[in-house]
Amino acid sequence: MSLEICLDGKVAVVTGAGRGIGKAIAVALAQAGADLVLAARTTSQLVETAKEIHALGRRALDVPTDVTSKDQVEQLMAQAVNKMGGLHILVNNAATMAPAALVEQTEEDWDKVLDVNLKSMFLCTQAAARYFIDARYGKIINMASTGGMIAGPMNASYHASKAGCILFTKSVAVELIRYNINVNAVGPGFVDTALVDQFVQKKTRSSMTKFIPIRRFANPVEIAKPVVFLASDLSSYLVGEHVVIDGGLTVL
Amino acid sequence: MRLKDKAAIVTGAARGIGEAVVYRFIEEGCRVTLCDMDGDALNTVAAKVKELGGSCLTAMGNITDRNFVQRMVEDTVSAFGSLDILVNNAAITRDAILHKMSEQQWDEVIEVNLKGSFNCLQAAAIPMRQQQSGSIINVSSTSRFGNPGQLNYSAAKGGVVAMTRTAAIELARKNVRCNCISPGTIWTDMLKAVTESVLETLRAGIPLGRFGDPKEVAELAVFLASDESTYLIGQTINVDGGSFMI
Repeated sequence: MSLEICLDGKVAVVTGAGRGIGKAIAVALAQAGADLVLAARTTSQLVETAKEIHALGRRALDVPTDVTSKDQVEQLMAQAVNKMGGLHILVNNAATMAPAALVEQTEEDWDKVLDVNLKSMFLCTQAAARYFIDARYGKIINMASTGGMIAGPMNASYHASKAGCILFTKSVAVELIRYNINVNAVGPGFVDTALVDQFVQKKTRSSMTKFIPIRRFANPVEIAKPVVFLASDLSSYLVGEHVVIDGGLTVL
Repeated sequence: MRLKDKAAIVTGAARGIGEAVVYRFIEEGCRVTLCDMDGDALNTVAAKVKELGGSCLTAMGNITDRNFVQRMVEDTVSAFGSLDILVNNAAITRDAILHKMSEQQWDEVIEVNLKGSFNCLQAAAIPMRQQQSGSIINVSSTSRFGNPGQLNYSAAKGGVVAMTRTAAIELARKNVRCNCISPGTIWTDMLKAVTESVLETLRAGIPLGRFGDPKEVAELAVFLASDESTYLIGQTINVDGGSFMI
């Protein structure tokens, strides 16, 4: 008899694990039995996530990391292997946003969004893949977005980065599957997180809800559980898929 | 258990993907109505369900018969107390290239694969709307992207995706989810009829380098049937070893 999804004995790296969707993913992976390596810039938030994971009886290592730095990312993966005894799952979740009218977007902001959202995926995937290839085993889940499929004004850098993420996922998936490494993406729509609270006003939010067939934003847990499925061996025949979790937003 | 106390209907349950879905649902604590035209094969699957300690009903009949479908839904609800999951899986093939395809070959495939799926979808939605919960899983195919010799089948399977999206939007406000599985080349009886040289060509087109196991499709069905996918609405997910990353 099979029970709940089981990730016992697996070690997962989650970037952007200090809050929001990343934190929910880290906790859900731990609930399934995985040990966690938590990466983000803000140490205090990582410590909070680590506490929750310890409370679940799982190991958690917090590694303050700038995911746009090649050196720091390589350090992160090395620590996972050396201190946790292995590396099996990578969740590329770290992301940012710098909404602005096109003519007002600074080059600095454009670079920051593309670096944090897209280049970080390249750096983390490359560094982790070296271990995964040796082990002939690995699961990589990239956080894309419905913003990578449908356009909106005043946020070109974000849309470009997330569209890039979807095709990055597929290209890497077809390259790495020969080493038994599954690479897939998850595309959330509107989710109740601090990032959304920061950029979306309450009034705008209720008018946005009208465009979602399910008539509500997602709870971060509703994004985290599909990630657990993709991190498990149950999804072994899914290769380069972009699993959209948006309450029907892009269907309408 | 991920489907504890839920009740499901699985069509095309006597073999292949449908049969694999049945066993995984039973293992996850679900009660299942098994629907198929082949009564003998259906009874064999039902016997295996009993061996696993599960509970099931059998519904032998044709999903193109709307009265039969209606009765199956009613019987399921009265036996299990609810209908929480429909796996719209039954399908046939009548392959022929365009200039050799008969009108009958076209009609039969559209009648079973598209109209039959509509019949089951419409009938299952009635109790699900009333109870304001449910998960409908349609089964398409990567043939929807185009597959020589399968004009009828690919048209029907493309139709299933469009039907999924529309039903999903309509049913979302009633908390009924509708999603779709799009399997690639899965090792089932449908495939076992194909010659070895064709199999070799098919295998070469799969980045993963092997055919899918029906169980791997069943795992995706469990995920979509469970409360792990409550925010997935109207999606079609390929389970194809990377063959079509569209």
